Amino acid sequence: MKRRRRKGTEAVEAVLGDDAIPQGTLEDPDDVDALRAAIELRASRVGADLPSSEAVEAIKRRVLADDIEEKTPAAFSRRALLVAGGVAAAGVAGVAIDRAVFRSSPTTPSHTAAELVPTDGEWVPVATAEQLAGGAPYRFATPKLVGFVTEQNGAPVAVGGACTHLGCLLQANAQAGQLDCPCHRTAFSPDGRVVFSELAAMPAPLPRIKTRRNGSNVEAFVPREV
Amino acid sequence: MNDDPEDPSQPGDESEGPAPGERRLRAVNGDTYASWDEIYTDNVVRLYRLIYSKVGNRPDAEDLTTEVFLAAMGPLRTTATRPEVRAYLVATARTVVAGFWRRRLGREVTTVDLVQDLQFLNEPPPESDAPVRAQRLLAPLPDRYRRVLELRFLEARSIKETAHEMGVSVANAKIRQHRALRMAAAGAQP
Repeated sequence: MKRRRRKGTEAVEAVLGDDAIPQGTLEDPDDVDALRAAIELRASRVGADLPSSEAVEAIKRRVLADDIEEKTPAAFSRRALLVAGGVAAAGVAGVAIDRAVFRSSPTTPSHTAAELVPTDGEWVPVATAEQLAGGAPYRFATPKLVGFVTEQNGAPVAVGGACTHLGCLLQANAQAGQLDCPCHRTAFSPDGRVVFSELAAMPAPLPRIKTRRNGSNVEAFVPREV
Repeated sequence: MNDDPEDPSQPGDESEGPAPGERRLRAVNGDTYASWDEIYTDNVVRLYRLIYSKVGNRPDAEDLTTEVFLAAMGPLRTTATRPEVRAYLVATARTVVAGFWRRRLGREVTTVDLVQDLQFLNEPPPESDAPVRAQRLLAPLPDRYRRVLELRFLEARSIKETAHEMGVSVANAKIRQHRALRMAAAGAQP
């Protein structure tokens, strides 16, 4: 009798202390009822049921860590296929995205820039060689897309111009040689890597856009205008 | 130069387009997710709140939220629509919470309701509703029972402080708290 009461009380005190419910056995239905009421009351304080941003991050890390531990060969070959095929990116193009993307983007954001390959695209001139000569990111806009192009090691490199966090349009910061997000103190390098971010969840790198030289123009492969 | 995006002469363009069969089109109706990241971001707070309302403490709520996502990630494809994803999360949460109680206390103290709790996931009640929920539980109780729960649960007082405040012994305060919880549970039954 005494022991049973204690187990019920322990569970209620755990709820009051925001601790995990201790292992045990609840025999008395009254104890079950009391615990249920305690849980409901505890959850009825304003803000009590909101997870901290640390908790949201911690849960995500654990979900990802477990996923990595699985390491099924199938998952890897599929991921390799996706990356090799260049599909890994674009929700824009209505392409199904493998969970491998979910795994890779937040944990190693700097290494897995996705490539934006529109299903129905065309090559359009976005900058001239002179415009890139200074090495600063050059902003271009097509009817469907905003991006930045820079010259790196003699080759033009273009990235999407919207922050991967919530889509704010990035601003070229010529002094720092980076792309700043005006919304949440986040910056990307001209090739799309996250330089810094105030966000607890590291945003994904910017998607890359295919480029090529055409005479004195630099062209990008962008969604076709309809 | 030509306009052919498949032009193999372009340097660094070996990986033109997806391999055949790797591309899957889905209806673009604004009600689908673009990635797992989006599924997670869109649902993690809702799901955590739902589970917190079932277990009433952070450590268990975090564990169980993780467990639900892990269980759901395998079968769920990102091509599922938002309503499908939410329904699947609720069904998974139901199993996970039931398993949690069986293992932890041998009793299902709370359960996830497939209809009501799906509603919760789709439209989580605003935080401002919290005092209303507390009052629904507390209002029917006689004064001294309501007071002990207010002190302990809403004002986070220790059992000692509560006993002192109410002018009773600690042992008495404990008994009063237990009775008050049982009465609240009985009053909350439909």
